[in-house]
Amino acid sequence: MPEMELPFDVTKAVDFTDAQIAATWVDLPGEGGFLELVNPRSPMPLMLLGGKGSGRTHLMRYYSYALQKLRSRGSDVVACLRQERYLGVYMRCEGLNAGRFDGKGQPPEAWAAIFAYYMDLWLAQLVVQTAADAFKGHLELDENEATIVASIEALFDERFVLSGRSLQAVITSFTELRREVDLAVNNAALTRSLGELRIRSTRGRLVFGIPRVLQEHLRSLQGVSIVYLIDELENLTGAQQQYVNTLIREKELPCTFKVGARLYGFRTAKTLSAGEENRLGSEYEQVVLDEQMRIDPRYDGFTRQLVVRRLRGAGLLPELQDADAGKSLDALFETYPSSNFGEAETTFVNENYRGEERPWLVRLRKQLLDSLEHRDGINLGTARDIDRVIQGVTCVAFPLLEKANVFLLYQDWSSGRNLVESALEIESTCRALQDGGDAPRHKHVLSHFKGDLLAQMLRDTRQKQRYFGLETFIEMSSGIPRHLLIVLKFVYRWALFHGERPFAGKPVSLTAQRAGVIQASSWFFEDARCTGEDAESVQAGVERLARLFHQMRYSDKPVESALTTFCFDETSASAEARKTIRHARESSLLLRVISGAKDRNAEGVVAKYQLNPMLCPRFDLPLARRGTISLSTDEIECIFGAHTERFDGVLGERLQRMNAPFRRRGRGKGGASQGGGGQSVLPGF
Amino acid sequence: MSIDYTIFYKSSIDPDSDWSKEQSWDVFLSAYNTTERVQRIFREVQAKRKLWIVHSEYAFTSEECPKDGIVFAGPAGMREDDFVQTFLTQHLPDVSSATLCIDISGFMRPHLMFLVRVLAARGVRVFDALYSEPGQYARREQTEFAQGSVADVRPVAGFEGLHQPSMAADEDLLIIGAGYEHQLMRHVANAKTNTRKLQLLGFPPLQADFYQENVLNAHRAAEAVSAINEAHPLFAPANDPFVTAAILQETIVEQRRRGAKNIYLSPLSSRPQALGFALFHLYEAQDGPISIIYPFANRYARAAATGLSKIWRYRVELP
Repeated sequence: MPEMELPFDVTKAVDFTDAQIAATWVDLPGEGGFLELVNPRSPMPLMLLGGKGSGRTHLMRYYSYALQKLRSRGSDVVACLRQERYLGVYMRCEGLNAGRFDGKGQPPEAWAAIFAYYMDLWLAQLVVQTAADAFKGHLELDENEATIVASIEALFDERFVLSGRSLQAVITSFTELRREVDLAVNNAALTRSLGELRIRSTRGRLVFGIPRVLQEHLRSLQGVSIVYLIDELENLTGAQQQYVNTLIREKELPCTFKVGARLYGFRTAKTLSAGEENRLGSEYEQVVLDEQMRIDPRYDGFTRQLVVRRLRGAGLLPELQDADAGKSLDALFETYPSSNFGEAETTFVNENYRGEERPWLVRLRKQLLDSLEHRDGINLGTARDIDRVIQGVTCVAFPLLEKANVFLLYQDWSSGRNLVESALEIESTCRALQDGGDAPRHKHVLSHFKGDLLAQMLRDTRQKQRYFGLETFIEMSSGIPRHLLIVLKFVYRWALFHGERPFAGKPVSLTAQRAGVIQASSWFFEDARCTGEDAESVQAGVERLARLFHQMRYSDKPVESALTTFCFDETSASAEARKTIRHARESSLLLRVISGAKDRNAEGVVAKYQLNPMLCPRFDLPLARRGTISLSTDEIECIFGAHTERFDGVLGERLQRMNAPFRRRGRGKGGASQGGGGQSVLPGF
Repeated sequence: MSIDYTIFYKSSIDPDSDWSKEQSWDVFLSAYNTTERVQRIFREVQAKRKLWIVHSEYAFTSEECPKDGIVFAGPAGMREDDFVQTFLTQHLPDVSSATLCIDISGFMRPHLMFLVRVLAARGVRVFDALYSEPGQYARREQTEFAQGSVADVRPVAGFEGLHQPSMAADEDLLIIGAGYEHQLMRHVANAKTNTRKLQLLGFPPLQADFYQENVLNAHRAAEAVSAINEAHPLFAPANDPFVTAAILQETIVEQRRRGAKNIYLSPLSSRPQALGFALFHLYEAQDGPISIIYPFANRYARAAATGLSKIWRYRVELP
C-alpha cells in the first residue's frame, strides 16, 4: 500500500507526523551527514538559519526527543539517549504567542521581565515533561523522584511548594504557574493592570537548574547534554530575542542551545547582560542552511534521494536500488537529445520559417537600413552592402549558428568595425566550424551564450521558454528542498492534467514540465510577499532588477551570459538601498553569492547577489548563474533605493549600449553608468 | 452543557423599507468608511446618540472625517485594545446602562472582536448588531481589502488563550475563516507553520458569485495553507455569526477528540463570521488553549464594496 498517492503533495515538515519524519528521513550522503552540521552534542550554541523550506524545522524535529524515542524503536529510550549523548528538548516559539507581551498600558520593562519568566516556565515544563517521559517506569527515577522534586522546589526564589512529590506534580505546578501569568497578561487588555502577578524565580534559574538537578540524580543522564532546540525564533520581537541571547550567553552545562530561525528572524545579537552582544564564533556558531546546501556538492545526491523516497512512498520506482534510482531519475523527464549546433532544439525555426527570412535577420536588416539612413556611426558603405552582410551571417541549416553569427556581427558593429568585412569573416569561420575547423569566437559564443541565444530565438519566434529536466529543477531549488518538491508537485499535477502517467509511463512531457515550473515560479513570487519587512518595496525592487536582467538578456548584444547576478559597492550605497537588498535576501528573493575569492574594490567589500532561480522562469531568465553585472551606485539607488522613479531612464541608458546602433555615453570620470555596461567584447577576448 | 447558538435571534431587513422607524436605541455606533452601505445606515438609523469610529487603517485625513455625529478618530499604530478602551473611556464610560446598536459593516475585525469582549467585561448583556450586505465587491475576486504590509500576526487582545507546551510537534490546529484575502491567509499560515490547518468557507455566501470568488482566492493561498480539509472544507453562512459559532463548536469538539491540543482561530472572512468567532471564544474558550489570531495590516481599503442589498440584525447576547 503506498504511503502517499501523490508523491510530492506534502512539502512542509508540519504536514508530517513525527513517525513520518522518522520513516522518510533522508540524510546528506557521505560521512557526517546532517549530524555533523547540527552537532547536537556540541556544547557550543548554534544559530540554525535558513530560508522558508530549507529544512530547518525538519532537522530540528529530527534531533528532538520525540524522534529520539522513535529511533529507540520501543526499547529502552534512556539507552538511546546515552548512545546519542544528548536529549533534545524541542520548543517552538510560535507556541508562546509572544505578541501578547506588549502594550496593554504596561511599560516595556515589565513585559521583558514577565516574558523571561514565562519562557523559563515553558522551557522548564518541557524539560520536565521530556525527562518524565523518558524515565517513565525507570528505577533511577523511582528511587530519586522525591529528591529531584525537592531540588526543583529549591530553585524558586521564595518558598514554593510543588503540588506533589512526582515529576507529574511538577508539570501540574508549572502549568498552574503559567496559567497565573497567562491570565494576568491576557486580562491586562481589559483591566490595564497586571494585578498581583509575582515572578517567582530568577531569570534562567529553572532553565539551567532543572537539567543540572536531573543529571545529578539520574545517573544515566551523566555525559548526556540537554539540548534546548528552540525553533521559530522569528516569532519573537527583538526585545524578546534578547532574552534568548542572554540564555545562550549565560548557558550552564549540561545545557546548550540550538536555535532555528528564518533568515530574517534573527533580529538582534544583543543580550540583557548590560546590552552586550553575542559574538559569532565566541558565544555561538551559525549555519545558514540553504547557503550551506548551495555550496555543498552532496546537495544533488541528497535531493535525488529525497525524490526517490517520495516516489517509493507512492509505490513508484520499486525495482531499483536507491543509488541507481537516484541516477536514473533524469530519464523520467523528457529532454532534447544532444545534437550538432542545437539542431534538435531548433527544428521549430526551419519548420516555421521555411523560405522566409528569420525574425532576427529581419530585425538586423531594418537596423542596418535605419542606421545607414541616419549615418548613425555605422561602418557600412551603401545599401547594397546590407544584402552582403545579411548573406554573410545567414546559416539556414543551423539556426543557432545563424543567431551566433548575428551576435558576433553586433559585437563588431558596437566596436566600430566595417560590417561587410566582419560579415565575410563570420561567414568564413562559421563554415570552418561546421567543417570541424578552428573558430574560436564562435566556440566561445556557443559555450557561453548558447542558452541566451536559444532564449532569444524562442522569444523572437513567439515560442515559450524552456525549463526541463531534474537537474534543472534541482538547480532551481537553490539549496531549498521544499522548492524542488513544489516544482515537482506542480509538474506532476500538470502531467496528470495532460493525461500522462507521470513516473509510471513515458517521461514527463516538456509541456507539463514547463507549466509546472512557471506555476512554481509564480507561487514563489506571491509567497515571498508574505515574508519579512517592507515586503511591498522589496518585491518592487526585485521586479525592477528582474526587468533589467530580462532586457539585457534579450538585447542585441548581451554583455554577460546567463545573467542573474549583480555586484555593487556596499560602502557607497544608501542605507535605504542596502536595507531593501538585505530584506530581499532575508526573504530569499535574492541569494547571497559566496565566492571563493573575496570581491573587493578600492574602498571596501563588493557584495554579490543572485536573483533566486525560482523567480527566473517568471521573467524568462536563465536558471544557471554565469555572468555578473556590476551595478553603479546610481543604478542601485534606482532599483532598490530612493530614486526608483528614475529607473526607466537608467535602464534605457544602459540598453542603448547593448542594442543597435549602440549609442554610447561620454566616458567622463564619475559618470553615472560606468558599471560594466560599456563592455563590447566577450570576457576572455 | 454546550451552548446552542442557533437560538440566538437574527432577522433580515429590506433596506428600502421603513425599517429605521421600527426601533431606536440610546447609542448607535459605526465605523466610518466611504461605502454607501455604511453611510446610509448611519443616516437612517434612529438613536439618541450616534457615534462614528474612524479607524486609522482607512487613513482618512481630518478633513475627510465625517462631520455628522460624534467622531472618535484613533491615532495610527494603536493596538485594538488601546483604541477601544480609549474610545469607551472618552465617549461611553457607562455603556452598560444604555441600549446599544453597532453597525459592524465597516469595523476592523480585531477592533470589533475586542469591543465585544470589553462590552461583556463591562456588564453589557445584550446589544444589537447590524450588518449590511454589499451588492458587489469593487474588483470582484481581485478585491484587496487589507493593503500595505502586514506588520504582525498575533492574538487579538481579549482572545488570548492559555496554551500548553507540547513535546510533539504535530498537535496544534489552525482554523482559517477563509475570505477574499489570500495574502492574509498566507500570513496567518506562515505565522503558524507548525499547525494543521482547516479552512472554513462562507457558504451560503452573501451573494451567489461571492462563493466562487472566495474559493478562487482560497486556492491562491493553497500552497502556504495546505489545509488538511482542502477537498472538504468547513462551511458556515457568510452572514450568520451564530451558525459560524456553532460550526466552530462542533469542529473543535471533533478535533480535540482527534488530539488537537493548541487551537488557533483566524477570522479573515466576513464581519458576521468574525463576530461568530468572537462569540464562540467568549462562551467556550476563554479558559482554554484557544486563541484568535489576526494578521494586522497597516492600511485597509476605504471602499472595497459597492451597493447595499440587505441588512441583517443580530441580537447578540453576551455571557
